[in-house]
Amino acid sequence: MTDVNEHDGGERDDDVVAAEYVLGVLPDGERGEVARRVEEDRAFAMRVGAWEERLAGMNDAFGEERPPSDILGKIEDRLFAPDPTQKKANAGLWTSLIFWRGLAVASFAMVAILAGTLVMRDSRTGLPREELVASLSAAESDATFLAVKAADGKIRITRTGAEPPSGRSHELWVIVADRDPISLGLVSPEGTTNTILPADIAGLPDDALTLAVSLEPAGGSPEGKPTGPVIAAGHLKKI
Amino acid sequence: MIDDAADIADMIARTALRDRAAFRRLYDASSSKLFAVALRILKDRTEAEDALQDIYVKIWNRADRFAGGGTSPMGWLVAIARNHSIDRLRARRSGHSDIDKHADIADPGRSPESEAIAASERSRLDGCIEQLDDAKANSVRAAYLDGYSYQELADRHSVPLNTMRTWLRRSLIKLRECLEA
Repeated sequence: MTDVNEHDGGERDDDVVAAEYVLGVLPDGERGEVARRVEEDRAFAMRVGAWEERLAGMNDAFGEERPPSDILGKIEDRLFAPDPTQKKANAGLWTSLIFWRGLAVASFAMVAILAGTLVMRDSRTGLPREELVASLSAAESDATFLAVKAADGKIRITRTGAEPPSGRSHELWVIVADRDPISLGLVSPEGTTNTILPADIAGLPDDALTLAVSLEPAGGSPEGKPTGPVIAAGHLKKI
Repeated sequence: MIDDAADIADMIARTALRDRAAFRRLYDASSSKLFAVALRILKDRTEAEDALQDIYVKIWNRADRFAGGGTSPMGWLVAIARNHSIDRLRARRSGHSDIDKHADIADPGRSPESEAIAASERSRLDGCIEQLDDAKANSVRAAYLDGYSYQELADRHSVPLNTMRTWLRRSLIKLRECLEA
């Protein structure tokens, strides 16, 4: 309905489109298209992020207004309700798969290869064993890792994505609800790093654990808790 | 805000890790702000309450996309709230025009909100917005704060849609230059 180019000498400035999107003025159809682009085009998403920051100075003007007290309960029901319907439970499962989004093809291949070796080793030894695999990733990060947890709590982790920037280190954490993240040490930029879960954590159900990698100063977080962004995270899964 | 940015960023990171207690703390720390955003844009309490639920469901599901680093966590949350509220507003308004009704409720030219704001971060943006013509400055604020579309802004200022679009695009480029100067 609007010929954008008409007014811009044929030059469509991505940055201006990003600004229009953030401002919220685009007509419906176009807004939808741009929203999809934000999902798919990382460079464009960064432009949108930059405009969100630029215009955030107006956010104070919204003021504050306390919502009714029952809203949080409704939100938690929607997110965590055991399963009034099977549908909801499925939705929960799918949303947790968001961790898989952006996962490098390479790590899928690694999972497949690793799954293969585990099965083979199983059949060779004939021993009951339970190894769980966690693929660690995050949508806006190109760092990915693959971690394997043995039944005795030993963890092996391998970098499958981007290296840490120079002067920074990747640090592995285990997160359990209602506790501070516990450092499992640095992830070596090369090869496989071996570490072990603290005994009290190793005994917890595997689905209670989340593994996460944060970007820290070289040598690791000086504070005993993550100080940098979490660049990859994932849950342990049976394979 | 009682909680500083680092605390909120930490709560978002933990929410990404499916930490429900952190999610509740994040809600406590941010819901008054995000509800105000939804209310301002939707101008309907019941709808803003529904929107707020959707917004926190989105925050739970998208927390892993929060980039951390230099990004303002509150700005990120407000962006989710604004986007969702604007999408709802568009869905509601599509097919019929009730602009006048909304125009009664919020006049973007009004200034109480500028009195209510005090942060230094916003003063830089405000300074840059002030450098635009009044009509353009008002349009930028009305779009951002009230969710007006190009069409609605054009109607309000009695200019053709394309003119409004050209105005705002130029204004946004000026804002960028001013903020980066």
